[in-house]
Amino acid sequence: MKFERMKTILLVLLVISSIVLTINKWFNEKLWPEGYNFFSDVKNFFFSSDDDKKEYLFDPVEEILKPSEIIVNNSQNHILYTKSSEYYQNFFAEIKDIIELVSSDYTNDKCKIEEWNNALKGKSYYFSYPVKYNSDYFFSRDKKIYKGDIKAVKEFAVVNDIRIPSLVYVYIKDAETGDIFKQEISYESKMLEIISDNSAIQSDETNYFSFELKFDSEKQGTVTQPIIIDPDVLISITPKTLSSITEENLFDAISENKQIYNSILSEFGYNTSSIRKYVESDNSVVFVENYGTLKFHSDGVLEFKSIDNSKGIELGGDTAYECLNSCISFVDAITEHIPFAEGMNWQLSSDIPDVKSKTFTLVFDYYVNDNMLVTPFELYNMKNSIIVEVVSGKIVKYQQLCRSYSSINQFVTCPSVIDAIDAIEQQLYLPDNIISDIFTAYTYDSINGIWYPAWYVENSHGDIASIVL
Amino acid sequence: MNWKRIKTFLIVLFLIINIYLLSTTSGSVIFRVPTVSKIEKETVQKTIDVISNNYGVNLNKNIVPLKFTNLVNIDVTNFIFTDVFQNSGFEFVQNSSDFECVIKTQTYSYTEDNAKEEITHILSKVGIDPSSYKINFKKSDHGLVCTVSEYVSGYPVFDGRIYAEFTSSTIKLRGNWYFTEQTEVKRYGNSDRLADITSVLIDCVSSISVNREGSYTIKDIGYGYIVEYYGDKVITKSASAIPCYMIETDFGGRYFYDAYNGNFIKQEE
Repeated sequence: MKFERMKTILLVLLVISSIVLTINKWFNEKLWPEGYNFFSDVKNFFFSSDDDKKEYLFDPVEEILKPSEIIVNNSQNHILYTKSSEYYQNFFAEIKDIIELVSSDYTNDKCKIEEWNNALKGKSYYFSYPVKYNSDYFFSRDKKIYKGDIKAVKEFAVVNDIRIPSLVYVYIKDAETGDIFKQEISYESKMLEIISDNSAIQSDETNYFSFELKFDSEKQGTVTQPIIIDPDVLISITPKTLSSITEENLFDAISENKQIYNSILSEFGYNTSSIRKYVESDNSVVFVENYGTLKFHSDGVLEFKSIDNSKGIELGGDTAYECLNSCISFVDAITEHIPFAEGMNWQLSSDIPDVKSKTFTLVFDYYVNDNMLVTPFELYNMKNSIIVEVVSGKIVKYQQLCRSYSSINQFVTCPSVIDAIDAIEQQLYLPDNIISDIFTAYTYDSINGIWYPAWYVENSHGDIASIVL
Repeated sequence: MNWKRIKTFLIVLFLIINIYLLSTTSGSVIFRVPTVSKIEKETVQKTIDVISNNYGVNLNKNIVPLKFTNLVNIDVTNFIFTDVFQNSGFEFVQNSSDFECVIKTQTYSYTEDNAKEEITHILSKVGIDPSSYKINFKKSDHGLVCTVSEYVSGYPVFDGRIYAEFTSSTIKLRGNWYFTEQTEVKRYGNSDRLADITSVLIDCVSSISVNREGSYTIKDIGYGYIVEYYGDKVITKSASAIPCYMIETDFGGRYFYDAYNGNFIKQEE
């Protein structure tokens, strides 16, 4: 009897063991048919981690479409909010709704520049983006094709109708033509007012738009201005104090760091069991597969090159814009595996043109404290921190600077923009005299190995130069 | 119903199922069996017939292996980049594609025995373990020479060779050597199959026939590793040694092919 009981227990254990091993094999080797998600859903329900959930909270494409500046205007002041500002996310939530409404109604009228200027001088909300977005891309949040008249967007403003609280006017400046379009939408602007009222109390900045100070005119009275600043550039008369930045080479001893390089190899679709690995005399590591090489340079540059334009990393997406979004998601996926410091982020630095084919180049730069780090070209032979070349929907070249940047307890005060403008006028850095932007960014001091904040100007061609003060 | 018998039957059945699942789950460390690529004797014979009739090439079927254990790529460090290259006490010199060294000795006349002892001693001093090589001697116009051929876990590393020339009171060394810390070279579990050696043979013979006429004999077929460089073929500190087939002819040519995709790698005379 006892023997039979033992046999029963053994049988039960063997059955349980078979079931466990079968489930393990099923999930590990993903043996369910294509499109059948039951087991995947069960697994995610019981075993999903915070990392799995994170992808639903952070959408890299949405991040790319966030404005770099939100300015709340009233007749006394213009208050600037950047991505790290406390109330930025609150404002952004409202912007998304506004853009949805604008994109679904193409009725708009052209208006004069004076009306735009008056909107910015009065009570309004101004949103400025780091790059120019083709309107099809900017407005196609719900994948509808935009059929309006606006060609490209880089900035827009929202003004309440004083008489009708549920009505707002959206002024959009066409970044291609300079025309200004005015669109009326039904939108409850109360939330915008609440956010701005709550946040205004803490601001001690004093800002003006260039047109308010007449810096956008060639002549100021009888004086000819050597430098013309785009009318919508925000001029601060308050000095800015920013911390300096230190950096860390994340590829130091990369040949020993299997965790980083294996995870990145997987994202590039490399088979880690059959890959060929080479360590060069400078300790750079190169991985070679049939269609491309992936190099981890010892100075911190990650570089992928396919053997020709017909090979490469296949991006998803049926349309050109979906392919572009897929490219952005790819960059995010790679960046996830690199242990960057807290507080660092990356933003698009190239315009999104009217993309007809799946061939384009995207560039991105790193930001710390909402200020860009200007990649030292002479050190890395790269103009930007991340460069991706796509040909016919395949990534054929990928470069990323894998250095981590963090603030240190050393501060630099950048004088006000007015003082910076004086320096521009004296030094005349740029070939043409039109300034499309003035901003603070970090510049690298190779002697001390520290990044210091400085004023930069950008001209109408997108060239940037630092100002020595 | 004899429930006891049924239970016994079910126990045996589930035991077999468990053994199967344990041995075939990826990453399983129990009952790991290395993956092997096999070839049929008939296929070998047909290949011999084809290359003989179409190209006039002779091949003895006994030198064609019928079974190859699937190997993995291994990471190797070039001897030139190791500390011992500089600090062994011998004056090694790096050339563009290999190294050389001239060693003064006290021995005026070399035989195979004392040459072997001497070379073994030198190699031990530079960290090359006797279990990782085989020595073959032959007489030449310059005197006694030997080839030290490298092996990893019993598989030849075809690029890892040191030629030693023994003359009066001098040993001249020249060649390449690679160190690896990887001891596990076999591939387990589900994996890619090797390219058929018969296809590679036909490919090789066909390529040779472009530049060579007349009959010849394939005298050896090897399976092991070759160190492949990339790009401009610059020697790197470490590299990957990949599984390859080696086909050697009687006119002195050695042809190397990637064992997994069958692609031509290089030729040596």
